[in-house]
Amino acid sequence: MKFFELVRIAILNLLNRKSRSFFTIFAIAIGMAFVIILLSIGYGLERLVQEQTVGLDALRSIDVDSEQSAVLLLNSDSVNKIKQLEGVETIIPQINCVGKLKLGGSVLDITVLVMDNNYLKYSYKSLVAGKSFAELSSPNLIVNEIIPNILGTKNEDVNNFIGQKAELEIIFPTNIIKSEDGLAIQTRKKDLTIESVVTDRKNQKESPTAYLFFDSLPELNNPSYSKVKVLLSDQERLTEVRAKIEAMGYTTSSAFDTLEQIQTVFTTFRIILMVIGFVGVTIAILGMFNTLTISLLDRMREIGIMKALGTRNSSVFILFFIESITISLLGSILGIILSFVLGFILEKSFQIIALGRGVSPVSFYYTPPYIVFYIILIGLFIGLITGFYPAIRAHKLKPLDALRYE
Amino acid sequence: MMKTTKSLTSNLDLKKKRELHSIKVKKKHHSTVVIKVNHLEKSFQVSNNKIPILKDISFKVYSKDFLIIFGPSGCGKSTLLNVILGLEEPDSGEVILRDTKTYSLNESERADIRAKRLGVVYQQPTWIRSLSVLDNVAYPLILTGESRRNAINQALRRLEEMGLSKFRNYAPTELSGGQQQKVSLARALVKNPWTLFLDEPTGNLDSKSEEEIIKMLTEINRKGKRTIVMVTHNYSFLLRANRVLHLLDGEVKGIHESIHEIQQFLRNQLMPEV
Ligand SMILES: Nc1ncnc2c1ncn2[C@@H]1O[C@H](COP(=O)(O)OP(=O)(O)OP(=O)(O)O)[C@@H](O)[C@H]1O
Ligand SMILES: [Mg+2]
Repeated sequence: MKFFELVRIAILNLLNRKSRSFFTIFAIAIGMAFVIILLSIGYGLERLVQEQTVGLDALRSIDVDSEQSAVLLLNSDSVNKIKQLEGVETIIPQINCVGKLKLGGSVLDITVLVMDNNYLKYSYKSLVAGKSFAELSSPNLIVNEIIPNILGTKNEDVNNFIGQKAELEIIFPTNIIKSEDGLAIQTRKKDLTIESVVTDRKNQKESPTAYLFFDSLPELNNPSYSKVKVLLSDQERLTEVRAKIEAMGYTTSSAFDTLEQIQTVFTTFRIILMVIGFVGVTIAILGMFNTLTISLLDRMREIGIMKALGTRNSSVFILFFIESITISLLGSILGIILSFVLGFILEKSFQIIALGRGVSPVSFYYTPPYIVFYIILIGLFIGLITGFYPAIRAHKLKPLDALRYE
Repeated sequence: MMKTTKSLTSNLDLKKKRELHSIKVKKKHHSTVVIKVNHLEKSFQVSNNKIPILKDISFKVYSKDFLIIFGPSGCGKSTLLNVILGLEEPDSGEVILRDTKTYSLNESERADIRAKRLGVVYQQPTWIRSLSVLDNVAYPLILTGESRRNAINQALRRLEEMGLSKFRNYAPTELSGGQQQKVSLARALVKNPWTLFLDEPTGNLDSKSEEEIIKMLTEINRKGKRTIVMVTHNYSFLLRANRVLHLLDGEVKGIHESIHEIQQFLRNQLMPEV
């Protein structure tokens, strides 16, 4: 018998008992949706916590520190070497110095960070006032919000701060620029215009800081960097690339270290959610098993006549499997759709509640795309396990016994 | 054992007829043997007892026969039919369909033979309930891998022959008992089987439907030249057959192979004390 003819009969059988089939499919769908929603909350919360603590890209970034060593410099040569490593996407070097900012009548002791545009992008700075990051270039000066705050500028007046002239005296660490005479400390004075005010998106406590592009300091000829952030194309490679960098002699650190702890906590959390979810699925499975068994008993005589007419046992076996797999797959697909709809409603309503209370809404719900794939796989599996018993019974049924069945 | 007579005259005296018989024994007009049943034994285990149901049953079915297996309830008619259909394995003996020993085949191969070559109608019409009348009739063809289009066309032709084509899209159980049994017949015939088997096909029907079915069967046998093996305990069918196998307590009590013999048998059955 042709396979698609069996599929046709299976589908007609399901349609013949519309409400029974529908409720069974719906029960599976609810169970699956329950699992997906719980998992999505689990993943969403984890993501939220990660974002709040370290930011998303931290997962795929490695901080490389210079050892303050005169032997192993972290300069453009070494940066190029790291860049050649497989899996490295971007290199973000920075130099940390201290300095004095003269602005109006005041003099502030501040941190000076020499960096490039990528730094702003990947270290979660957002613009408060002034030029956007894309427009920025040397010899602009960027300061963080702390500086106007210290100088008594209110948040709403921060725009007035843009365009002010400032004198910045930068004091370089010894290993950054070597003077000809080998004397330790080097300083530079620059007259600059404040072009942007930024703030840290993660609301981390910061010291007053000025950001300066490398281009603004042409005298820094092949400097040693204080720190290089290495951004990978894929977080899976983190351990591997990190090991390679350490093999070059540098020390590294990664937000991954703290993330690992967060992840352990959330993995446990997710497992608990999953167990709860699968209780729902188990109930649905029992319902489905019940339906299939009833359907078998209901169709004993039918199986009898099919076999008496010459249908092979194997075809009957396959027929029952097609029916169970159709139910569980349709249930899974419906469950996925249901979870998307319910998840959307859930998130939106929380956002509305948050906005109503004047709290900025956060997203705590995230469905990783691969869950869809797993749910389908689990659906297939459920179809196989629930279908097996009725299918094997139908297979073994003697046609005459089946025809006699009342 | 195979005897035939063309004599339809019942007023001839018994002795003369016997003579006529013996002369015509060798001139049998039956063509090929289509089913050969050899020394079948079948018993059922009921609690601790092994109860013999079929005892050393041997007979042949010839092409274009209308053979009735006749006997009282419980004598083993259905069991015998099911053994021939390959549905009930005998304890010993063999069933040979054309050249194939049924029980030397495995279960799937026996299923395939039923699917391709044997048509069957039971007393109780039974359906694949999710399929329409037309789909049910087409099912045996679908089963053998026929294309849907062909199967449907042939099924529709069968239904038209039975005058039931207007019910093609009905659920089978929406039809009357008589109509359902005709659809069963259409389903059994759609694959042009070697032999059509029927087990008490009119057992549940009113006399009008019974009459229609038996007329159809006669036509299928005479005009359609199809071999029929029918199980019944209904006397009124006996005269439609060309051969009657009389089964009693699981044994072949006799095989009656001419109209005359059947009439004689019928007379004895109806008036056993005579
Ligand atoms: N599977 C079985 N197990 C035990 N006994 C059986 C089985 N099938 C049939 N029998 C017994 O075999 C005997 C013959 O049954 P069968 O159905 O062949 O009779 P029948 O001649 O067709 O009767 P009827 O005319 O009433 O249909 C009965 O006594 C029945 O109880
Ligand atoms: Mg019977």
